[in-house]
Amino acid sequence: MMKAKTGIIKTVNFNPENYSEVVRGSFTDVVQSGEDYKVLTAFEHYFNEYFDHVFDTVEGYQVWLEKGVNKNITNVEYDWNNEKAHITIADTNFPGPHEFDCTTTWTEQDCIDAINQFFL
Amino acid sequence: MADLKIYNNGENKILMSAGDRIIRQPYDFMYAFHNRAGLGNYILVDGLNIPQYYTIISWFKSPIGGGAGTSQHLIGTKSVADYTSIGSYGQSGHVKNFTGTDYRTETGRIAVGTLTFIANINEILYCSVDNINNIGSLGHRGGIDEEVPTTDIPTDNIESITISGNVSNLSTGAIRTTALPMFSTFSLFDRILTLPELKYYYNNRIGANFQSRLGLIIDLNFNNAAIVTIGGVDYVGVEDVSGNGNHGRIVNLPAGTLQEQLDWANANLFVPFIS
Repeated sequence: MMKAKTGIIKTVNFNPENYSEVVRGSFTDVVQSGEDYKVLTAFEHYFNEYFDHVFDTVEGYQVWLEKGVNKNITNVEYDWNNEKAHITIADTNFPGPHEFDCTTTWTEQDCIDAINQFFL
Repeated sequence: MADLKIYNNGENKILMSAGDRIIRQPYDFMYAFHNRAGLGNYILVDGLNIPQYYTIISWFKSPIGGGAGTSQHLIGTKSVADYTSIGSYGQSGHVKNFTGTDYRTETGRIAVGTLTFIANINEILYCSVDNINNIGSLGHRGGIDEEVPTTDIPTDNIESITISGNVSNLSTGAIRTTALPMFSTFSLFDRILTLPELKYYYNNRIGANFQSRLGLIIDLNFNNAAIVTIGGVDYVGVEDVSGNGNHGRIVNLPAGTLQEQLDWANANLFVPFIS
């Protein structure tokens, strides 16, 4: 049986041509943390790379909608070979690890700033 | 209203009164609409022009235990502060108590703020509230009561009906997200049914046939979803078998083709009324 999912994309990046004609007229508008988003609840095969995130459950989407992203940092790891920092946060929907370019060990504030910039 | 109970003896379903008197067997309610998928699905019938005189007959049940069977529909008016609540047994409002003598009561009103659900203008919002026990088999009468005139009834005709799978707490307004009720049938007459007609329906041919279909303008049996045509457009909904084309449209389905929505609705929103 087909599964329904919910996807979000920032309105500023939204282009209806990127989506199937079947669903492109079904997006709705929401605001989260001052950012405008387009939201689509559809069957899973309609979701492609043109989404910022796809929630597997309605509950996950609702948590994000009501509470936003929990940005508390739980782990930081470095990959010096590729000059990357991988930061994991406490959010259930977006735990990461999230990858950032990095050439030196970051301070705690550097990590916080990076996550804040990532989740505008 | 005496609580009704359903028993399944393995072959036939038996409907019994609270005193365990067998009312009818076998009985088959078939399926019911159950908003259980988490998407806030509900059934909308719009494009209507229902006068103030009408009767709603509906079979529903809720897994919430205790208390009397209750349901409620709200009629939106020009002012949110002046909406009318038409309840059933145990609630204020017009009452169709088909088993007792309390057939007509005064129109009640629930103070603004105590209910989460408020109907839009000229809309019936049909839902159920707390304290539902077993089977609800209720006839509601809307409109001006010829014996108890009231000014609380909206003056404009009703244009839409929302049959919600949600349930709210009558006192707190809190929406229940679990223990959602099921709706097996929803029928609406554009006239006030007589007491003998209600007794016939509930006591003699319980839940099966109306004595007269005169004025029956909506007759929804929530056995399955179907592709219905409303205003020249195809939707996934529930067919109106009254012959008037007042089909119900299922709202908040996942985006997809009609066939995908139909398959999903039948797999997720319709369940056996009695299991």
